[in-house]
Amino acid sequence: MKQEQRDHRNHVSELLGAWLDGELSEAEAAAVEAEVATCAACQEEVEGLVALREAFREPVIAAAQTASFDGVWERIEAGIAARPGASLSPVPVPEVLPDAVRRAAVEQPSLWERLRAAWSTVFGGQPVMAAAFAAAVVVAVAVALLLPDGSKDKAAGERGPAEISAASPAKSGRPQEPVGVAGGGDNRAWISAVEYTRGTVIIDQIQDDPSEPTIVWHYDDEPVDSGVQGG
Amino acid sequence: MKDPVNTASAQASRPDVVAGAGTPEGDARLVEAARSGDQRAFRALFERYQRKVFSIAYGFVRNPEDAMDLVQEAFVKVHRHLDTFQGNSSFYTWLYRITVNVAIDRIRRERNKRSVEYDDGRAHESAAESETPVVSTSTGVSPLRALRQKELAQKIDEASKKLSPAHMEILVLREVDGLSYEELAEVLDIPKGTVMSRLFHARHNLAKHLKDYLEE
Repeated sequence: MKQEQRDHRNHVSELLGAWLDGELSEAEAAAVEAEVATCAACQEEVEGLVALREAFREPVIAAAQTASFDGVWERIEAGIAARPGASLSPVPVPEVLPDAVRRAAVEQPSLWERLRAAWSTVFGGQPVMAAAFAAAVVVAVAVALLLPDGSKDKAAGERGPAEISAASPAKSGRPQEPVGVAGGGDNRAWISAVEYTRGTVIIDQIQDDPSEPTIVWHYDDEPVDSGVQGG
Repeated sequence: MKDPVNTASAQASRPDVVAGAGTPEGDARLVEAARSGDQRAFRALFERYQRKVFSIAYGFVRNPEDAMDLVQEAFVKVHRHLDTFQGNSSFYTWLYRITVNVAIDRIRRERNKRSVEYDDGRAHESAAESETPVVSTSTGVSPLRALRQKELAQKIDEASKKLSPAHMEILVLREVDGLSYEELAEVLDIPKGTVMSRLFHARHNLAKHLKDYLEE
């Protein structure tokens, strides 16, 4: 089929769709109706468009009619309560961390507060990055608690973000001793080192195979959270 | 990357164009009360629009659990930004744009996880080069008539997940929410002629993906 014919075919298809949508002028609609009356291919296309529309729409209508909103409002309330600034611990401590580490992380609210304040100063408090940074800090602090004594020469809460990063062990293959073990069963991970960058937590993971790739754990709860303004 | 919520910001400042909005005056009173901390007022807004928001969300994700997550996410975001709502459009228009944008954001995240590249431009090109009309096959038998409606709906759920966000958006707004071309042009900030063209391509691509499933 030549380009000219394709363009014409597509234009006819556009018109058929607009006709079904009731979006043509009276004159245009009359012309399309006349065409459809004598064109088997057009009739078939119209039938297909109607079926396509109904099949696209009907599951949505059915789902909306039967949807139960039990508990949704309570979850919304919880989400509102967890908004940035409303709590010192809006970012959950990752489940992958060992229990002892999780406890240590959540039992240091003053550390949280200081680190969040440091974040705001350094990066201007963008909500996206704040969430990511907070998650990163949890991991960095948690692992710092597990580091050998020699590496904990300074309390984590006294370090600035860059210092925490610099203090993290270098990624250099499988360590003699893991700094932490996270998860269990098939999901067990040995944490050899933790580093962070903006919005990204990097965890070296070693399971059965020391050549396992580095896990990049990107905490990305709200990648776009700015600009909901106007209206 | 285009920020869908910023897009919402630009679009939400337009006049009220969304069909099916509730009573604007009533909404405005509830919004004002919610802004001043009246949680019952915000709950009233939620109850008024929960099912509409669910419909839009479901249109995108085609899954009730994910759609409900989006309902929750949209209302939390709306509450968070109530202070920035200026009232130039209706509350529903604003809510509606935020819902669309959190849905698109979710889809993009899911697709990024799967490392799938969606090229809207290429999708358009394939439609333009097609030698077949929107919903017929070279055999002359409509694939859509070959399936019972229920089976077709299941296949469409799968096929629609392959659409670009722009195509999914316009299909949901047109087929689910019933916006006119003029309303679509205003909400999407595109010329009316582009609405017709984009809808054609969206339907074409949906039918094309559907045909792929039928031929598997």
